[in-house]
Amino acid sequence: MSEPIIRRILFALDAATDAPASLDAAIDLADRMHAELVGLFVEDMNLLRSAALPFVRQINIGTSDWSAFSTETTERALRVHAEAARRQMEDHARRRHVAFSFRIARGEVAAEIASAAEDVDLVVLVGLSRPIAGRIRLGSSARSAARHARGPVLVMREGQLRADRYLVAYDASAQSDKALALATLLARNTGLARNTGLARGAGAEVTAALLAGNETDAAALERRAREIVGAMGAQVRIEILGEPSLIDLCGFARRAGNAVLVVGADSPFARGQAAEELMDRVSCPLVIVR
Amino acid sequence: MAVKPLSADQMRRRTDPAALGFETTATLKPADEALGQERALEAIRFGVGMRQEGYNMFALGPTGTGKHRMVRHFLEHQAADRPAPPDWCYVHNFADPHKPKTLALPTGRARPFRAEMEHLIDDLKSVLPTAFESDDYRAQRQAIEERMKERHESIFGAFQKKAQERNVALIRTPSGLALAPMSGTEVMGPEDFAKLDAKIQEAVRAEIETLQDELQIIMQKMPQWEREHRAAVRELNRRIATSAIAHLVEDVKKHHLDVTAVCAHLDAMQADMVDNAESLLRPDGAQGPREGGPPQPGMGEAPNSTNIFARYKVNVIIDNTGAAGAPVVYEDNPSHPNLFGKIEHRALFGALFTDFGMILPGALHRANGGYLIVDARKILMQPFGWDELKHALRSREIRIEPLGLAFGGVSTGSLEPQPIPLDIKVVLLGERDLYYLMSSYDPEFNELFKVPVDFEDRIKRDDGAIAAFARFIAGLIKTDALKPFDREAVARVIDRAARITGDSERLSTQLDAVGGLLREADYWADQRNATVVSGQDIDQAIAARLRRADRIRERLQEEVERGTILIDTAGARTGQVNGLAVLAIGDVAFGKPSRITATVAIGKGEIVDIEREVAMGGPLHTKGVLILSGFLRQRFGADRPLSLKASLVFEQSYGGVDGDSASSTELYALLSALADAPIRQGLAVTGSVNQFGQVQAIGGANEKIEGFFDLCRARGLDGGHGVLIPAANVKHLMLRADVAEAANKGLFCVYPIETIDQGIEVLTGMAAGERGADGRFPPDTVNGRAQARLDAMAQAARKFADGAGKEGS
Repeated sequence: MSEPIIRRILFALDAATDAPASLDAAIDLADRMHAELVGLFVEDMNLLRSAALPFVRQINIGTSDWSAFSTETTERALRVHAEAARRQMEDHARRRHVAFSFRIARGEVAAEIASAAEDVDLVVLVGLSRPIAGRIRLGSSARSAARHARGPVLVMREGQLRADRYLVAYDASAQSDKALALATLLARNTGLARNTGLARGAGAEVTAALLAGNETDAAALERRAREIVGAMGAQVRIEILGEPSLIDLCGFARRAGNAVLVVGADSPFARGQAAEELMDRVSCPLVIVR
Repeated sequence: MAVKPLSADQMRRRTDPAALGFETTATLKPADEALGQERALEAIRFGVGMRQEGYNMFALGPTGTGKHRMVRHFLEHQAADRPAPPDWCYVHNFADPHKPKTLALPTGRARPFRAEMEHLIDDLKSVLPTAFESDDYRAQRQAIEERMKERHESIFGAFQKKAQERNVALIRTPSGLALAPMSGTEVMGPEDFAKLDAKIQEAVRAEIETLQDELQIIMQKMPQWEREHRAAVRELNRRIATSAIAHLVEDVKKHHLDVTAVCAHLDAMQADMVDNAESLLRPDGAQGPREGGPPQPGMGEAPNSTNIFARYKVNVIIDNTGAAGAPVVYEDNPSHPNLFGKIEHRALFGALFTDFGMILPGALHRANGGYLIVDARKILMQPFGWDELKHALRSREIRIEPLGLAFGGVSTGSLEPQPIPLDIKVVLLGERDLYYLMSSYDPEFNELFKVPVDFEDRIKRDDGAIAAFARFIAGLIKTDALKPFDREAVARVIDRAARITGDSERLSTQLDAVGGLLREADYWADQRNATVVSGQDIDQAIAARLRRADRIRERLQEEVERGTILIDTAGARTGQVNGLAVLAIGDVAFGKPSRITATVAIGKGEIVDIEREVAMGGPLHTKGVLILSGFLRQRFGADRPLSLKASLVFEQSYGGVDGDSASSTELYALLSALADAPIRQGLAVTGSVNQFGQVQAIGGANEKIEGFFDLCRARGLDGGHGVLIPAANVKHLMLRADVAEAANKGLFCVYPIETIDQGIEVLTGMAAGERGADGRFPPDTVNGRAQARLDAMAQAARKFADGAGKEGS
């Protein structure tokens, strides 16, 4: 199979998901992959329409009080959010000498992201909205794009992308092959940041978490995994997970420390509603590969 | 009766090597260093024995008397019989983290305790995650999560569903949530809404308002749900953590059941571990803000967080493992941190950070339960050193606090470690002046340092002392591993010890001076490949030492010889006498001749001390000159006013003069000027005088004589040279061999003088003259001529005053 290529990375967000640390992670990723970063801020059309309705009010998080909600204030708030994101991207990307562009689109969030994802090799999303109360968050509007985008999507949680290990849920399906290859590419480039001034390791480790019910299948999966990774000049660590539940897989990823979980879109963990649950439960960054 | 010069033997009391009774020091039984220090040793014994408060010691004596070595030697001997003190640790205070607690453990138990805690922490890192990843925990946790989710879904989800069913969308706005009517999958725009029938619009509005009320109720309840959820998770975590941790803590505790404080600390630690199980689960133990959250390693960590495992460690500050007795500690640099310990800080992300692990002990901690020796001068020079030491001794505890806090100034947030009980004897070392100053000016000093340990720097030179001194020398030779000294060398060292004291009847016990001479003589013996140090090596060592420090003396003498500094050593001059001063530069003192002159004229009985007039004369010198006035009045002015004005000066003196040792010299110059009696310039004079004309002892007699001798020898000794010294100083003479030799040959004389009259006779060769029954002195005597001159001056003054009166009228 051919080696994946990442030349353009899309970082998409909207007013419900402002995540400066995730943006930094996307810039860092672009730097390491020597890729161009495309910033997209989506002004949610549904939000603007509701603001235009005179009787619609918003309940403030924290005070639980209702307050007026107008198109003017909403547009201003959106402009502020977009400008803050643009400025951060510009500052950080320039400092790291990462080629970038930034644009604002207005429309339905998932559709806009899916559309923008056509021209890029990797989409980076923030998986959760800002909190509503305590730990209660809604899934971000952007997240539904993870299920519809045609290419690989990296769903960030809060914070930096600290990837010491790429854990690939591997079952030798076509998309898990792709997932393994992409993980190898990302891991190989972990130590290759150009202008960070930060000390970095030689690269992250790739672990193929084999989803095999018996030893024979596991041996076959291991051979295949070693073949794919070996073809890219890297090494893979093998762990046999058997037939884990989604919760087991999340626990495995959690115990691995600073890991990124990589799954193929055809995996039972990423198909249909399972993808939503996976995004809810996993505590580390997640890549869904198509 | 004419004064006879001293014999060579009187000028230099020599030790007879043959009388020492040994060939070399190799056959001598070395004595310890406490020669002549019986008083000091008694005081130390007393100070050590007194266990009551305030019986600390101050070892006083001149520098170089070996106070430190003797005190230390004695204390180490005493300390060996006392039990080793307990070990001390600092541990985290779980109730009040900024006040770390102390733990005292039986001697040698602190290090194992620390190791046990390290193992416990290591075990914790594996045992706790295992417990929290167990199927049992996971199932229970899942149940709690499910309950929360169910509740969330049942209420919030039901609300979302209800809204959806009523075609109302729940939208996340930039700062909250909003409810808006939907049209299909999209929110309805205002234009579309306006197209609706008015009744429908009203119904939609009403519907949304109803939903808004419901949402508000739900939102208000959310924090409560969160709290309940966190509490449930916390309780589960506590149960799991307790079962995982308890046996680890018990394993440690069973080794320390005899130490209540350790058991209490372990209990508090266990409770803390249970409370903080979530932080302990993180791979790096970072303490984050996720209080009550689920234990999910790998979540975001606060950048300024600290490692929670560190709080369970043990900071052993005093480890007395293997100690044979009580400690004896000498703190050479008694700065505040070195004495009392310090709290270090680490810069972390631009902030200063500290914890109990960064508490470092000071000398007081190390010496606790034993003895601490500190140099008094050094501690006085350290900011807050003395005050804090007194405070520690008074309060009987060691309190570690940052110096900023002691200053009472602004301090960054820091720790207040629990004080450690202090049981210590402090021995200060210092000069006598310092002891008396502290005793006078510091009211607390005498309360806290009740035992002066007064070291002698000299002993009486008798036969017994000489034998003891020889063994003392043998002891020093043994300590410094020097070659054996033959008896000639030992005799010379004893002579030198007498010379160091400036007294032929005393011997110096100053370790530095005597020990230095021994070591240097050993060096010179080495240079000639000798295996035994002999007399010539001692002479060589003394000469070399003088030579090394002799530059200034040589330059001064050179200037005298070249005639730049005017000193006559031949002939006779009226009103001019050679005085002798001692210059002490560094550790070398030497005599320097100075010309002193006097002039007289008619006046009102004043003696002008030129040194004083120009503020170059010290108070003692001024006193000496005023005594001269007293002498003159007593001798010549009992029945008439003295109508003279005399002036006295140290010629070519540019650096100030003090001391009264030149007062007799000045008086001779004055008498010579009054009597017009020339003074022999081959002689020099030293000695103070009282108002009755008695000559009194002075210091530095040896150096003064040798100083003048060197000058005369350089110009050629002819038998007319010599020095007049107070007779009371004869016992102090330990002159160089060459001076004694010259005296023996009659080339140089030292005259012991008791009265001014004796001295003036030697100086002028003219009788001084005794007062007759008529109160007059014989005319051809110094006193007679002086009296006649004073009479003439008085007459002239009267005549002058009469003439002036007539002119005035």
